[in-house]
Amino acid sequence: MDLHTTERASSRRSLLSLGGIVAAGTAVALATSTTAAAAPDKPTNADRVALEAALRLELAARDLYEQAAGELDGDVAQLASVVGKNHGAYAQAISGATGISANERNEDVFNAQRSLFAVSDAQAFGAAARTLENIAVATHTALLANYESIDAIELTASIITTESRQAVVFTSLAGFGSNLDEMLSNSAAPLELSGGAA
Amino acid sequence: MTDSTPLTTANLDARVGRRQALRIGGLSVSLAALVAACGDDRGGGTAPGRVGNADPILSPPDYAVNNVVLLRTASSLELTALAVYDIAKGLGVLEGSTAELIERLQANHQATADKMAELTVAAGGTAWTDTNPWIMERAIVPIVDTISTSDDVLRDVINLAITLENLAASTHQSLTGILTEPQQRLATANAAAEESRHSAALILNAFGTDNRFSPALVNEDVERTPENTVAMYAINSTFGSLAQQELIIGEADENGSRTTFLLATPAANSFIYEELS
Repeated sequence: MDLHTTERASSRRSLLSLGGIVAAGTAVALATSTTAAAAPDKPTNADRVALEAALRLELAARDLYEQAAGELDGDVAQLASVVGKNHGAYAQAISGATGISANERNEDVFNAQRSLFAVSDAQAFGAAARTLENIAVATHTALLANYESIDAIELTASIITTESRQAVVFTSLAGFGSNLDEMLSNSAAPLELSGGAA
Repeated sequence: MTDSTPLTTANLDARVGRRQALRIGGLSVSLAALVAACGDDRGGGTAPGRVGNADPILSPPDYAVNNVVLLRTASSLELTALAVYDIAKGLGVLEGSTAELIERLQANHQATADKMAELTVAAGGTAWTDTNPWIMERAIVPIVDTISTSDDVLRDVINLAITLENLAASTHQSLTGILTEPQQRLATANAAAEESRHSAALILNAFGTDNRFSPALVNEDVERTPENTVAMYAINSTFGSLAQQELIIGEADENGSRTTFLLATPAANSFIYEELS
């Protein structure tokens, strides 16, 4: 899995029409007219498959930031620690909503990124973290399009908003603070995740 | 009540309150229910007593709250943000990178308003192409009046911009859980993400790296700024917040206090119903 190449030069608005990228096993088409009015509160079986994949992504992110916090100094180390804990909280929240244990990270994501997060240079760390946050937002957004339950939709929406803020902070740290395209847009492609072992 | 019950102003509190999606407040608490709860041995009518010759109380209209209404409300909030930025530019305090950022934010808000209008029409409604009159009248006008006499107009304009971006992000986040069609949810989720980015970018532009994350995230107190305004942080919470936004602006009084405004996500009184034109 090459995460470096997953940010593509798509238009800023392209994600608004993003449709077909889903977690394996959750082939609920966008055209499905499942309505919130009739939507279940609790995650359905299809939701649980996708949410498990999201949970494992969050655990991988948590571990990457924990690793980075050990390499970095000062404020940036604290920033890495804070964001790592946020990702851990997302995994725990998904676990709470689904009953799935939050104990198995996505090894593909972790292994693909671990060397990039094992750095003491703040700007290099910012670049890696920015990419990861943008991919996480894109992935959650793609999954959200197919969730059937209100809990899955609301939880994911609350995660997306903060991960977007984190992406901006890391984009600035990476040296793109004056580049408004980089700061305000997300051209990352979502990961194709599987709910089971990676 | 089940989830399949059509959403209206009459049942909005029960439905939305249960989902903790929009902040409704106590507007719809039934006075009749309160009176009835006072005792079961009372005779006569159950209507609240009245004194004087006031006009009779009319029941509020029971307007439907459907996808069209929610999307029109989303449009109205985007266009309100655009209008506020126009006002801010007219104050003549925005310069350099901040002015450039605001220009970009306006373009994004217009694009999001257009997207919401497109979805409104697709849902069978009439697109809303104006600001939110309730928010403009009750919030923006007094806020702008306060800023106009402030000791630091730029500070207040920036804090207003951040507050509005936070409010817009919260609104879209809320709508994502209420709208019933996947493409609508996707649009509001993307808008929530984008406006969160707006907020974070404004904060970093205005306050720099010291305000990357809230002290609350490391279990420390979040204190006011030395000017006694609300401290703003790019990463302000672990999860996207739906709480009301506090804005402190204007000239300080003899105690150092400034005017406080509380802004909440649109609710029954600020929705753009289909009956509005």
